Amino acid sequence: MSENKSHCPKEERLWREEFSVSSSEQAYVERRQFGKFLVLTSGAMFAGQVWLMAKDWIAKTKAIVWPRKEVANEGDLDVGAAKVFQYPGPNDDCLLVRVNETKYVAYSQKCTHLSCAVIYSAQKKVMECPCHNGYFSIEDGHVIQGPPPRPLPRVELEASGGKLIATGMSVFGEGEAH
Amino acid sequence: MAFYDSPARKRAARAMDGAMLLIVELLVVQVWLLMASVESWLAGHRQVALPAVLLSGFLFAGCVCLLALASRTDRTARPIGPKNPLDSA
Repeated sequence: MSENKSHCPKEERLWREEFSVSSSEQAYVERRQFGKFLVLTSGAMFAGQVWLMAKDWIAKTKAIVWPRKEVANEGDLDVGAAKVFQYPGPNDDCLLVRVNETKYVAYSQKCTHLSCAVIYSAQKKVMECPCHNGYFSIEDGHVIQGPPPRPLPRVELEASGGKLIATGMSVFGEGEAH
Repeated sequence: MAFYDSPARKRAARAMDGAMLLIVELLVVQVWLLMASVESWLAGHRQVALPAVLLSGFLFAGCVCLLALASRTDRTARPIGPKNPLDSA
């Protein structure tokens, strides 16, 4: 054992001489590579922002044509009652609510927090997400309380010949500064 | 081995460390900016897209400049001659 110990420093020196890359140099190179990786990540963030602006520009230039769809007959629902329908696509659930004798409103049923199904609370007169107690205004869909970060998309309704027709969708505060 | 302990080399290593620290800080701001602007955009505040892309581009340019500066310091610290400094030792 004592022989081994005495030989160790010499062997280590020999190893260091034969091996052309020192550990300090290797760490230095890795730091540079890490720096390049960080800058690439920064470029990816910038690309994300460009993508957002491109999406915004496309949305501005391309006019969305919303389908017209019959949702319900006027008088089908009692005051405070709600009905689920699909708009604009067959998988987009929306909720039609009769707020009072004359007023009907409709919103997307997908909560803007984690996409739970939103229900109408007639007692509180709000749209309620039961998953995390998120509340949306029945008047315009804006967030009253809870974790949802955005308002509920609203379905535009038109009364025609005793029928309620969905004509498009809008979001509270769209294009406005708040 | 004296090459690795040279003041120029130490200065270059320090420059790289400093640049990386600043790049990390800029990157954190960029991540936050992207998250906040997407959130605002989805909430209907479409006017945030342009200022956000400008700011993000500015931060990205800052990151590139910092890396270029650190790389230049690194290049000047490297010896001209044999590629492996241990060969000449």
